[in-house]
Amino acid sequence: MIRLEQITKCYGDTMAVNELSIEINEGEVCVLIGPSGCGKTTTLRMVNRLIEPTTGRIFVNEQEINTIRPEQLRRSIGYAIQSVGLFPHMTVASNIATVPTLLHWEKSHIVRRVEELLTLVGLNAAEYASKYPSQLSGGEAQRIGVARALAADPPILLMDEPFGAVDPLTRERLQAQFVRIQQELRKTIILVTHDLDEAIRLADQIAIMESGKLVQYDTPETILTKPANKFVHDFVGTDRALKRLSRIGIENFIKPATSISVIASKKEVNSICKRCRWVWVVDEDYRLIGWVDRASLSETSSVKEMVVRGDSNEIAVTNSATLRETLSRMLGQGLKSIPVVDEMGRLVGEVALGDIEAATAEAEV
Amino acid sequence: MIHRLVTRDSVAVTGSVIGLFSLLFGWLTLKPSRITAGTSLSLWESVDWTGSAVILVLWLVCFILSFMGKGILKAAILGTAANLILIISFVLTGPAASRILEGEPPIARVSLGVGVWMTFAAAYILVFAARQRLDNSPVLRNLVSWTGLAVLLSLLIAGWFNDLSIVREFIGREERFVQELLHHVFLVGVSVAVGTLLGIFLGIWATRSRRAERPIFFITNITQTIPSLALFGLLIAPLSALSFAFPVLREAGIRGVGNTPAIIALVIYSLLPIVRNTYVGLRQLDPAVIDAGLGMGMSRSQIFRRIEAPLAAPLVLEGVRTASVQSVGLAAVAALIGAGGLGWFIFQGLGQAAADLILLGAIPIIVLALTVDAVMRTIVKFATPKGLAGGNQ
Repeated sequence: MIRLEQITKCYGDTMAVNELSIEINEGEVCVLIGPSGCGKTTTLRMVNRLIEPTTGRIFVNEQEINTIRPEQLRRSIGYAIQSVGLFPHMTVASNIATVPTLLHWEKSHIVRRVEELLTLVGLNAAEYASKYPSQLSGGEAQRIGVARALAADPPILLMDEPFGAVDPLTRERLQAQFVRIQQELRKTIILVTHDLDEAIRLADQIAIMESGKLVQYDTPETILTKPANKFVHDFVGTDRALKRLSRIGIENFIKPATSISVIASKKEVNSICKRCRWVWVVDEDYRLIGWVDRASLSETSSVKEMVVRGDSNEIAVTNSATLRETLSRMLGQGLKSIPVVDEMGRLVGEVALGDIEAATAEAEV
Repeated sequence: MIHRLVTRDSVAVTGSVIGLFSLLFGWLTLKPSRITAGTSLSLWESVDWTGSAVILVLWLVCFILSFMGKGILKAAILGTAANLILIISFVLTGPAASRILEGEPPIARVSLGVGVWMTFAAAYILVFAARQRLDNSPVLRNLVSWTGLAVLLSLLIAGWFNDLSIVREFIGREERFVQELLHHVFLVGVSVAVGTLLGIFLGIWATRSRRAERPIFFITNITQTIPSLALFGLLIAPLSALSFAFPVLREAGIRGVGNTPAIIALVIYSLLPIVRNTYVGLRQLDPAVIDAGLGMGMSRSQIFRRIEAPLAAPLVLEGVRTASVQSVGLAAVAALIGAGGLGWFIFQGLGQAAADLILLGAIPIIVLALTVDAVMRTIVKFATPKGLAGGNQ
C-alpha cells in the first residue's frame, strides 16, 4: 500500500534520512521508532508531502505521490500529531469536520459523520460536539485529534506520537482504544513513537531507525527475540520477556471467578465456596465492589457488613488489558489472582498468576 | 498589638484627597474680556455657602468611606457620592456664572477654574474605584459610571451653561464647529483605513519574508520617533514639488498643504501599532495548528482564511484601536498645515491667547478619543472567536 524507495533527505550537510526503503502492507500498523533525531518524523512527513525527499520515490497504492497535488494527497491521508493542533476557534464538531468540509460533503452527512466519530473514540456526541478545544482535557483533545484524522475515512493514517502528551494512565486507555478501533477499521497506519512499549503493543511491524537509517524492520516478536544488531539489542533492553507480555491480551487467560452478591448471608458464602479464604463481592448489577474474607464472617454478620470495598479501577483490570499490565498489577498488590471487569465495571472472571507464568515459559521456548 | 487588616482603598483615598484639595482652588474666573486675565473666585464665592458645605460633606464622606473596607454596598455609596458631587457642581455652576456676569459689561467672561477640573478628575477617580468593585452588578456599575455624564450632557443641551465662556465661544461658531468636527473624523477615518490596509499587508509580509521583516520594522519604528509637527512640515516641500511637476495631481487636490500631507502623516503614524500587532498576531499562533491544517490538506490560502485570519483578528484590531486613538490626538496638529479639524480651534485660541477657545478644540478631541476607544473595544470583543474568550461559551 505504501512503499518508500531509497528515500534520502538532506538538510544542508546533515542527512536526516539516509537511503531508507520500506513497504507497508494494507491494513497494517507500522511503527517508526528510534531515538530522537533519528529521522522518524521526517520520514512520516514525507509520506504526505509535508516534506519533500531529496532523492528517492514514494508510492501510495502504486502511484508515485509527487504526481498527486499535495492538498489532494493529504485529504486522502489522515494526519494526527502529538500536539494535536486542534483549531482553538472552532468547536469540536467543526474541527472533526475539517477534511469533509474541504471535500465539500453534504452538511447532513458531515453532522452524522461527526456523531459517529465521537462515539467511535468513546465521547458523548451531544455533549462534546459544541465544546471548544480549550474546554477539553489532554486525553479528550488527543481523541478528537484522532477522530479528526479519521473524518473522511481515509485508507491511510499518519500519526506522530498521537498519545505522547498525556499521562500514563490516559495513554494506556487511548492505546487500548486504538487497538480496538484498528481491529474494527483495519487502516494502513504509520505511527511514530519513541516509546518501545507503545510500539510493541500497537505495531504489526516495527521499523527501528538510527541516525536516518533503517536498522531493523520486523514484527514485534522478531524484534524482541532476534534483534538485528547491538543497537537494537540495547534499544529493546533487558526486559524483553516482560515486554513481550504487552503483545498478549488477557482474554484467553480469564477463568470464571467465584463471586457473591453483597446481600448474601454467610450460609450462602459457605455453600458457594467451601475451601477458598475469600470471595469477590458484586452488587445487584454484577459490578465488582470488593471482596470478603470468609474468616471474618460470623454466623450473624452479613456480607454487606464485612465486605472490604475497593474501587474496581484499583483492584481489578479491564478485559482489554495486556498480560504485562495485569502481571504488574498483581505483583504490585501481592495477589495470586486478579479480578477482570468489563467497561461497565461488571465482573467477568479472574486471571491467575500461575497461568501467566506458563504463558511466559511457553513464549521463551 | 494586633495589626488591623488593611482595608484602605488607595485609589479612592487619592480621589478624595484631590477632591478636598480642589476646594482650595478657584472655581470660576471673572475676566473683563475673553483674552484678559481675570480674578479667581472660590467655590463659596461662586456658588452659595450651602452648596459648598454639601460638596465638602460629600467629599468627607468619600474620604471616610475609602478607609472602610471594600464591600459592594460601600462601593455603591462611594459611587453615588461621587456622582452627587458632579451633579451638584454642574447644577450650581451654570446659574453661578450668570449671576457673576450680572452688571458686568457684555464682553466680560466667566471661565472654569482649576477647582472645577480637579473636582471633575477627582470624582472620576472615585467612580473608577467604585466601578472595579461593582463587577458583579452591571446595572449599578453603569449607573455609577454614566449618571454624572448624562446629567452634564442634558444640562449642556438645555443651555444651562450658556453663560460660561467656553460655551459662548461655541455659540458664535456652531457651524464651524460641526464642520471641523466632521473634518477631524474624516481625517482620522481615512488615514486609519489606509493605515489598516497597508499595515496588515506589511505585517503579513514581515511574517512571510525574513528579508522584509527587518526593514519594515526599522522604517515603521523610525517614523514613529519623528515629532509630529516636524513630519507634517517635512511633507510640505516634496508634495508641493510633486504637485507643481504634475498638474494632474494638482487637479486631484494633492498639494503641499491641506488634507494630503495630513493624511499621509497620519497613515505613517498609524502603521507601527497595526504592523506590529499583525506580525505578533500571526507569529504567536501555535505552529501545531498550522501543521495540522497543512497536514489535512488545506491550501495556503485556506490556512490563512480559516485559521490565521480569525485567530489573529483580535490582536490586529487591537492595533487598529491604538492607531485610531493616537490619530485622533495627532490630527489636531494637522490644522497647522491647513488641513483643518478640531485642531483649528486650538491654534486659533493659541493665536488669540483665548484659553476657552483652546478648550473648545481640546475637550472634543478628548471626548472623541474616548468614544473611538470604546467603540473599538466593543469591536475587538465581538471579533474575538468564542473558543478564545476563555472558559465557557
